[in-house]
Amino acid sequence: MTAVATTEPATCACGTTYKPGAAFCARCGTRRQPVEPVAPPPPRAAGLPIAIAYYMVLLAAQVVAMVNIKLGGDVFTTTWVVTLGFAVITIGFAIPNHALVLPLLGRAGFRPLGYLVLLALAPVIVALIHGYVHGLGILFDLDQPGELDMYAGYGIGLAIVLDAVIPPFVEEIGFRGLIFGALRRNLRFSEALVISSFAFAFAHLSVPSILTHAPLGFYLCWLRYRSNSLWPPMFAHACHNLGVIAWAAYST
Amino acid sequence: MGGEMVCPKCAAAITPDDKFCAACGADVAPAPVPPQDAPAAPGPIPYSVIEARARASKLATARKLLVAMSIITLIAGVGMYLVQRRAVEKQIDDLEAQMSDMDPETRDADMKSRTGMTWEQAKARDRGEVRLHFAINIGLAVFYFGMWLWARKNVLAAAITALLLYVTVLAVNGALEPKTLIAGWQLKVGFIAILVLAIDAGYKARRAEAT
Repeated sequence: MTAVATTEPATCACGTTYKPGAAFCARCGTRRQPVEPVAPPPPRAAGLPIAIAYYMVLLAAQVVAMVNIKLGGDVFTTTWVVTLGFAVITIGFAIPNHALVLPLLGRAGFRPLGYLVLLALAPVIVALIHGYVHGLGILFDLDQPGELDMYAGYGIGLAIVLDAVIPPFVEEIGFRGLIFGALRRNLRFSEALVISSFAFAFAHLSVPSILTHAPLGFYLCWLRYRSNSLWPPMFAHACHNLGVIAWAAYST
Repeated sequence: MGGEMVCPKCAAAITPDDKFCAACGADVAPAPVPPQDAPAAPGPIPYSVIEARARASKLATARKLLVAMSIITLIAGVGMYLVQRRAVEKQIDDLEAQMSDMDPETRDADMKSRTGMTWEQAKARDRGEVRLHFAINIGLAVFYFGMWLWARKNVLAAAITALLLYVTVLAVNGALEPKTLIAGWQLKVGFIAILVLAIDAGYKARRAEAT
């Protein structure tokens, strides 16, 4: 009897254990074939903990800002510190998880026509969302603080930088890059889409914003998925924020 | 025949169970015997099954928690609305009684200099704020209810979304009014623990599924 090579299987495909030195299966009669050793597939990288940790750190930064304002801190200063803080946190998470972000920044996603379509869609989306917020203000007799009130005395240029340039860049990397990408490692597309969009809405810290920012999140997330790039959602996001500023500038 | 059985083709030793010769593959099956229905002996439950059951139970608890959170938020919202409305109406009545001897124009001018609003505007704003808080709580209750509906199909995703919202609400309330964090903290920690355990269980199940 010859020694069985280590690559020879111990059991047949039909489930029978081979006899020592057997060349055939005693139950189904098939020939015993040596098998190539198969390396186990590498485990999928952890995603969900990254997404939750990133969201919690963002939330903590917002809480610190809220407490600072409550304790009498200047709203304007706090806002731009938080905006830059978000950027630092996002870069801090993006460096160890660069596989989630860098490939998406390496391609344009859409051709120029696609960006033109996004530009054309922007007023519709701003009108829908702003109309809703305005309606809510009327319903509850609330004076909506104008988007530009905080920047009064600082000029519209600063409002554009702090509202329409930095946040789209940072939030798209954070929500569409890190959170959506990390969730997608362990969850299905639809689940990652819904969770990352709601995380985007919750991070704006207002219950009414769930109704406005969750659809906006779906739209931006879909753009990221469709184009496999972060530039189209960044562009759409910047268009939206610019539209809100333009609306506020026009109405005051 | 009492001795050892051998293959009729190559004479290698075979056992009565064999259908084919292990050495040459020749068909050595005896005439077919009607199959016997031997009841399978109940073996020990494999560990993977025990683990899967534990995960399923954690996920089921989280699903029930979501509907409980919805109901609790609804009840708390209605209660808070009634309390706040009474407080605001009392405040309005008290101020109105105080200012009853002033003529409306001086009153409005006085209000405007202090709050930037006329008396009617200030009243509407205070009442609007109470309605807004009520609407926010109803909105949260509806959202948790929606998560419960989703959890009937997909507990993991619903639990993640609900956890993010719950922690956010706690953080905002805590930042605005730190006292709210202490009230019923055991319940809050319990809610978070149930959601986290369920997410952990669902996540592990997904990762086990993927490999």
